[in-house]
Amino acid sequence: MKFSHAWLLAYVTIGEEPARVGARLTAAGLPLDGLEGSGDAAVYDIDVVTNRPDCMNHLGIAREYAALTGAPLRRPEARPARVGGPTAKAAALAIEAPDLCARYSARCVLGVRVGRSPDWLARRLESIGQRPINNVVDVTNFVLWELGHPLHAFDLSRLEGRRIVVRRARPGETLTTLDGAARALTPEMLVIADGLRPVALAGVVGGRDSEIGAGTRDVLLESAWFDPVSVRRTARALGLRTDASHRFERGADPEGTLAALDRAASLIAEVAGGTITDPPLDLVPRPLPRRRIRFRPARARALLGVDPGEERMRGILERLEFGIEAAVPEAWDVTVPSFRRDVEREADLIEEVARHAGYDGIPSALPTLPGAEGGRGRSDRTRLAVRRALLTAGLSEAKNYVMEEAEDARLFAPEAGPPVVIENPLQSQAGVLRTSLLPGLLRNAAHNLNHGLPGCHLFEIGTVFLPARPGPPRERTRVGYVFAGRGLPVHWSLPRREADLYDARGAAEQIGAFLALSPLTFSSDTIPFLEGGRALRVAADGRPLGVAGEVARVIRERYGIGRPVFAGELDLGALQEAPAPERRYHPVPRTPSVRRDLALVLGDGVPYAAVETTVRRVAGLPLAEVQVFDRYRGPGVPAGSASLAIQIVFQHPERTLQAEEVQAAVEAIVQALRRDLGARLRGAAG
Amino acid sequence: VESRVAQIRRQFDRDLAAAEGPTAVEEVRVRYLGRKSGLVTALLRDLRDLPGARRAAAGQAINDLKAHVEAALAAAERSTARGRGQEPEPIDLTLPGRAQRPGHPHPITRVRDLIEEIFLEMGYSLESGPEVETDYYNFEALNLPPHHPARDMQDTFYVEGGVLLRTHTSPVQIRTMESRRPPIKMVALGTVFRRDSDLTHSPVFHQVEGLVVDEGISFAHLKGTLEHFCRRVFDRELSIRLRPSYFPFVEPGAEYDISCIFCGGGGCRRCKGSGYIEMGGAGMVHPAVFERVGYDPERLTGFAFGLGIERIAMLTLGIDDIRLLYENDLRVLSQFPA
Repeated sequence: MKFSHAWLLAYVTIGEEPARVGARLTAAGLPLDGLEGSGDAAVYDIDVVTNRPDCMNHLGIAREYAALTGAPLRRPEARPARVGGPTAKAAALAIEAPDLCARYSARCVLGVRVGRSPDWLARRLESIGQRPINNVVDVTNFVLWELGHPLHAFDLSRLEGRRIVVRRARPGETLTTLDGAARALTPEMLVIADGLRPVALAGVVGGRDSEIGAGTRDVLLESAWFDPVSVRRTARALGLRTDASHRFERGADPEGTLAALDRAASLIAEVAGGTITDPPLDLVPRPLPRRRIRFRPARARALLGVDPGEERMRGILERLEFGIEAAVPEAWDVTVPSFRRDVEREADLIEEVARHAGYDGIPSALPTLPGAEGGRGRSDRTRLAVRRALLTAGLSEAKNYVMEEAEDARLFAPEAGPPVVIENPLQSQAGVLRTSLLPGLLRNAAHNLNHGLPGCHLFEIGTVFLPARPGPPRERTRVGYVFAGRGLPVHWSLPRREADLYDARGAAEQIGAFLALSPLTFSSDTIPFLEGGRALRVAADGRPLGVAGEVARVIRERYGIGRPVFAGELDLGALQEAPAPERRYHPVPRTPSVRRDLALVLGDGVPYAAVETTVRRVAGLPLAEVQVFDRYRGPGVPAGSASLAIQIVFQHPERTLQAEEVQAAVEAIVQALRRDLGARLRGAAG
Repeated sequence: VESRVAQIRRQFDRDLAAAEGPTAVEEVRVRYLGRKSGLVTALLRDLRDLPGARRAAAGQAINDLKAHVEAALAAAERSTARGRGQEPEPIDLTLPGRAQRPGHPHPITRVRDLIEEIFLEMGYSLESGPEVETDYYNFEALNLPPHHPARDMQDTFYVEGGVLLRTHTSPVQIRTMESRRPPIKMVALGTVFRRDSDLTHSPVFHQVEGLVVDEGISFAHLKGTLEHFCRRVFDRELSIRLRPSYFPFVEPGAEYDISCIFCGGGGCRRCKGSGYIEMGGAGMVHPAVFERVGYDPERLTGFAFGLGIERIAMLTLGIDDIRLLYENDLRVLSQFPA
């Protein structure tokens, strides 16, 4: 909001540079956003906070400055000269909606000559970026920027019956506003009507039919107090935001109507001629009394942690025009000036004191709170462990928006039903809340691969929103990850490889390990967005955690990825709830272990899991470990089969195993593998 | 023949494992691959006597065995040679070493971790709340009744069913006060949403919310806490400036700035010559907020503060377009150390 230095000088003496003025105002809560020009021509751009409509004008800023510096404040004069007959003779006024209009003051200026404003007036407005229109309208605008009270000038001859009725709009009524738009009105809207129809939207904007024009002779000036919520609703409903609505919404000064009216009428008579009707009309159907608040200096000291001193506190409040009666010294009875609608309770007065005493004077201290519950919760620890697991595995972390396309949800969570809709999205392709982390990660993978990176390994931990109509969506925290292109680790000593399904499965296993869970279980299933035969459900102790696998080709191609992508998504809540076996120390066996390796040739239909199960079932001796250490397909292995090398470690907790019994166990294993799974030893025929 | 192959293989493995030193390894070589009496050589010789049908399969098995024996001997020779200090294989010491390199955490997470750590050290609890909120928690309980003009400051995304995406982490204040008894000393770090997008505004961003409630908590405590926190986050001496401002849920309200971390307060391009950098909003908990959660505002006082995590990430990492943080370009992410 712009303020002219020269204009401020009309109300307060300023004996310092504009930059210093700006710093002073900033420190008092009127932050300087910009400063143009210098000396008297300086223009301040001040970011006046929402609750200070009293500072959205030059007198208000001057009042703050005067209070800060101790300089006297000069109020503009408003003594209407050249007065004619009573306003009540020139126009009639009725308030039919006293709940929405607490006060309505009006005067007429009869016999004006509408024309260009004199230079001083036009320059004042132009200095703060306002465009002069004509002398009458410019005066109302000038008074708005001087005193802060929004006024409206009607062409009196255009008011049917020379009558003002403040009422709610009637169903079906319309109004063509000053901007030329025809507005449909609803009964929640407060209008200013004449004898027939609405002529203005109260506190928002005037109507074109009663606008001041070159031919206007008689002017009716309105200076009223409209209900803030009503003004705001009307302005919002019509998508309008005017200087008037901005102030009424935030609370105008109910006692300021007459001062603004008199000032404007005098100025109109001065710049456009005419006589002013007197006395004014001034209906107050609902008086708004000044607030009285108890102020305890001790409370201010306790809340601020510093003692500004009682004299200083009193001085600040008085300079800001608060009335103080101190019947008892420890509790003052403070009357709030009518223009300070924001000051409602003691804390507000304490802020007034603090802001003018200066926040800089408040010392620094650290609170000590014995007994506050501290620390991380369980879900935070799960989140950290999952993140560490994947970072350690070489994946980098992504963060995506929670908004996505409905199509994403259809592809990745068809079972969840239609995704949760954002009613006012920024873009139509971000119109719903995500139901999976994978669409975002696939877009990230496409971005990276398309920029020439050889491999992309990313994860994200974030919220998904599952519809639970009619209630609010169910929020779940998940981890998602993708692998595409070159596999990890990358090192000159290692053969290059492409990412594959085992990366996706391994990431889940790594998470399980970092959370110290029992080994996760993986089962093949049909999952809509994963390739058939390359889709796994992940579980812990029978409870589902999520999925892992190769992203279906048609889907990854839709996201612009030309090569295989492997992905997974697990639920952090489920991971947190998964039972972690108690870890206890087991004595390291003192008996020797015996290792045997078997190179098996297996038909393609035989899974490794079946081999391991068989080994464990038939071994007949205690096993310390069964592990696969090589898998090979190619020359030397018949087509339609693969060579699998497994290592079996036998170890009895109490005694040394004899070579013969181990040999017998190996033979039993080989036999069972041949019989049950058709496996044969590599290098052995038949 | 096949069982003989398996037997010889086992025997070889045992012999080789038992062989210590190059001489012993050489003896094993002669025993198995010796031209005249090597066991594997003999097997190959026997092959000639087999009928054609079985010869192919057996030949395959013997060749596999021979390959195994040769590879194992070669490895054993290499290691015993080194062990004896004989002619070592030359090594290029300038080549990079081998380890699974860790991935890179997102810059926002790095800053978030740092902030969490600072407050955990100060004994704060970490709290959280839903991202889809009700109007009550996001606005009304925070002293922002319907049609309050301050709602304009927070361009809200509305979600079907009469709920919204939280515009700040402040609802967590309310939820925590509702579920706990004072004293309270909490921070909440989380995702928030505003309908705004440009160089410095992202529709999705992250905030920190702090709340301390007890008897005797003052504005001085707020100032001291912010000062300590800002010094720890930026890891340097700096001064803090509080300016009066307006947030409906605090009174007195403030915005807080730090002395510019680029110029030290003298004025530069980054601080637009002011010597200060804006950090966030803060203030003393508004008595109306206490009343909402059933706390007695006469007995209890408290302070609250907020700040944007992106802002700190951008300041400390020198990023000037917030959207870079959401592209997840590995060429960007990998610039920041694990």
